[in-house]
Amino acid sequence: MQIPILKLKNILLTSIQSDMTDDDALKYQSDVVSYLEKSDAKGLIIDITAMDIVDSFMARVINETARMARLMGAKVVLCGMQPMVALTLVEMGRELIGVETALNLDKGFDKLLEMITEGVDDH
Amino acid sequence: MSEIKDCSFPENGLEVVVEIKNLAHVANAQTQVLSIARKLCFSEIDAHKAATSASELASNLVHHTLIGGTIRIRELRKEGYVGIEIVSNDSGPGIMDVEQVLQDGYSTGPGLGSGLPSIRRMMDELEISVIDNTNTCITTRLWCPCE
Repeated sequence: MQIPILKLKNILLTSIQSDMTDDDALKYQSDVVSYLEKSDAKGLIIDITAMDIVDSFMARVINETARMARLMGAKVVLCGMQPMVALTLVEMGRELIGVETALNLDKGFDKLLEMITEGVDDH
Repeated sequence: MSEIKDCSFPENGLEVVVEIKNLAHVANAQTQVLSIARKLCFSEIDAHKAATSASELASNLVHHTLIGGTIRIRELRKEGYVGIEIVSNDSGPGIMDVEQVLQDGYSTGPGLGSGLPSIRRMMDELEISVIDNTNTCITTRLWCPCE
């Protein structure tokens, strides 16, 4: 399963789904970092609107991807978290997501543009 | 914590067994748990807690066993309560240190090491039984009051 990476101005947009395998995750992460290198993108949006359940494996994939992108000099925003996902992540008792978040793609896009122009440290 | 003793599996109760060989099957386990929990009138948050727990158990089967295993989801009843039971079963290699896997941050695989501890926090009951390292059975239950 190939996860599309879309470029919009200087931002990369990706949307991930729950049925991701280990191989998909590795491919997705290497696609993101190589795309960041090739393009002049300054930010990455990880959209998880389609994910009804985020378990600790998926949380790790999201965290790692965000850290990789940050190492490549990009700002990262996670958006579209379902209310039930937020509730269970907190219940799971870990700060699984150490990433800037936004309610939806619209707000995520604004936040990312702001972070890029102001050079805010998103960590 | 609820008493396990007086609970029963009702006749014609809901029951599904999902075979887990790879991560693509994990989503199937999630969907089945969500659908059964909703049929049993669990709240959305409880249905998601149960489904996330099933997801943790299923991805453990993919990452930590030799040939995968099964997830069995069953309806449970006891006086005043309806329950959902999720049982993960596999044939090895077992769990080295059961106490340790219940600690946050301990992992021998690609997870965060918070799967089983999270299940313990989200669900009402969690039992782990390892027999000769060839039969590992993890049982977890969530209860919801009903008339």
